[in-house]
Amino acid sequence: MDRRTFNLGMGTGAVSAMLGGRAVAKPAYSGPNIVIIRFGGGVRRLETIDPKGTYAPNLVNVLAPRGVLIPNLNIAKLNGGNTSHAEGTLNILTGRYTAYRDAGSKFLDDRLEPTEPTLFEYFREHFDIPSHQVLLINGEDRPQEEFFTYGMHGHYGINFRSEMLSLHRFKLYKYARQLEENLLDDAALDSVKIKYKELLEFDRRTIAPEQSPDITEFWKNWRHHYGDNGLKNPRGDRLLTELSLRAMSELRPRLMMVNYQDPDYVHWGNASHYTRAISVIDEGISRLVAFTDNDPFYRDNTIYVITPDCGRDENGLMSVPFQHHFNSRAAHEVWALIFGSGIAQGRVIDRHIDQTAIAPTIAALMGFRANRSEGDILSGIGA
Amino acid sequence: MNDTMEQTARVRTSRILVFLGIMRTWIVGALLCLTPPTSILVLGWLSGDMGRAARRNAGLTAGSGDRRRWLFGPPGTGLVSRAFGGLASNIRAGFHMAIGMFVMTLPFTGFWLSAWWAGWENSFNKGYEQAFVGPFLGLTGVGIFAIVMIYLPMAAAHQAVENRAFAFFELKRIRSAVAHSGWRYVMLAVVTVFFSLPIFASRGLPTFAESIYPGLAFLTASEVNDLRMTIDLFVAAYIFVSLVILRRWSARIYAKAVLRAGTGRDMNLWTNSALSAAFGSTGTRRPWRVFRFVQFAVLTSIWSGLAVLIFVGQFLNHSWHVWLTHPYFLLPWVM
Repeated sequence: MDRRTFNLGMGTGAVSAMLGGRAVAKPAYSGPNIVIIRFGGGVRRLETIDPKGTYAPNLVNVLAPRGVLIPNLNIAKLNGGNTSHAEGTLNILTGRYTAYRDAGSKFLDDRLEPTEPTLFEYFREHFDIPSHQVLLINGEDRPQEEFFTYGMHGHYGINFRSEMLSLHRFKLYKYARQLEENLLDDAALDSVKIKYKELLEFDRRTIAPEQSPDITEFWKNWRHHYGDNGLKNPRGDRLLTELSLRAMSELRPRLMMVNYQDPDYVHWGNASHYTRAISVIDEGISRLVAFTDNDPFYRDNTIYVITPDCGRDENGLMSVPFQHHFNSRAAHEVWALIFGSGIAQGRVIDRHIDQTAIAPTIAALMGFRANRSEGDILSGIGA
Repeated sequence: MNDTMEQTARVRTSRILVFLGIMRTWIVGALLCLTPPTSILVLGWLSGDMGRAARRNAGLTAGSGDRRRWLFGPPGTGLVSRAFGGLASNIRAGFHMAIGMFVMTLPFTGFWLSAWWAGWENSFNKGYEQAFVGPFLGLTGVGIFAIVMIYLPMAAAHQAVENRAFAFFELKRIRSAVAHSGWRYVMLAVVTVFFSLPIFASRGLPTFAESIYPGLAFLTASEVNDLRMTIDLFVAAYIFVSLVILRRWSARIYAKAVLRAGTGRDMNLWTNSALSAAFGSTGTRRPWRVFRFVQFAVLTSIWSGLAVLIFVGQFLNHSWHVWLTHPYFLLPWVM
């Protein structure tokens, strides 16, 4: 028994003990499927939802008329709050601000773990949903966000976790298989052992679950299709789109969050990376929506919630005014677009809405309460 | 009694005039540092100022025509020369200096520009196959920078003193001057890197401007422009003053080095030097090879510090042109 299996057993045991044998059969889920798109890496309203400056024409011209646009979503200014990616993502997932703690951050690596339950945990606590139908799709540039699959809250946690799809997870799968298969020469095997160990050590949580058999099967198919060298699969945010499409096809997730991230490349000053990345996400969303529109499992039973993790600066003193997102006014200004089954079409809610409203609203759409969230459920979005 | 009072009054008036002259020079210099084309005039003015400082340090008498002026030429020349001689001289010397510096710095600025573009372009597109290109170009550029900067201040002083086109590239003479420069030249490098900290701050601090001054978020575009201009003026004033200090110092170090080199084993190199009239007759030994090696190594690591500041500044507040120029190695411009 390895450390992970042992830890998983301990975690499961602990949760069972807490529940005290009052486990009751949970209802099957029959509500809408939810796809949360983190239009991430921090984007401004001007280059996304503003028709004059947008680099996401599909979002503005095709998708916004299909749902409710909330152009005035804001991240509250709080002491200790930060307008960054991990923080914004956890605000969206927990419906609370600063519901996270440091999990061993290093320089330029803000590694956080949620201290409050995430939407994934609420959902799986309320309904009989296997972990592989609750998915978080993560990019390769932010491995520190691999650990948002469950929070540290005592009542929820690992037993209600989501599964993670990312290159990080695929490499864990691939290296484990390569070590089992023992087909490589000695030097290559030694290299694989080192890389595998490094990936395992990257996860500093005390309880680190193995992925479920369905996810393992998913990686098996991925490896069969793209091979081992990592040079054939789509890259950057296009990879996230591909992972999401394959997941919807093979795993049928009922709640899925896609953490796009590449607009953040403007941190290094190339403004075109920012605008190009917005367009790449726009194309990705377009492909996802086309899939759900045409797939019988998802058609007429899926809601999309598209929202950025944070905004970006609007700093006229710099030659690239949106290079960073350091708690400036504009970095607090985000937006949301909600469309799909049961959602009003062509509506704009122009009032000031707080980012913490996203989680309880999604919970309400799915038929449960995110009872530890601080935000209000959005009114006026139903058809 | 009356004579003494008159003399005191004359001295006071003279001091006030000198002070006003310094202030005028500073204000004009700072204003000219605001744009790239006008900064070439500053480069020319500094060149003249360096030449004068070097000649004075070498003990060569400086006439009134030696004084650097922004616009007017020296007295006793024709009407046009008197009216615009200073300007013409600054333009000419500025272009000579700018061309020399541009060519000498292009090997590393070109690498840096390419490294940043190739590195992040590759990273954005996840081109794992060419992941080495950006870091390789960047580090090569830093290596070239550290070596070029060992010679560049001395080359600038040589150009200023000789006041000839392409004197910048008389590499044997420049190497000889560096070899005879001693520890003062190392100190010059240390102080230059130290002096570059405010320039680094002028690039980096705007990144955190809203944290420093929350009202920035609510300024109109024209108010932001006014603020930008105010900051630029302060930075320009600093750049001009710091350059006057550093360039005069480097000119003095150059003069001392040339006087040593011109009377030692390198004397053949320095015949017909602009400072040769000041050469004494006693021979000077060429510094030991070990000393020169240590000086080279120390200078390389000191100048690498300036490269780090430039890179970190670019991470914080990126502009493409900042890879190509810096007030201390090309245009005295606020960037």
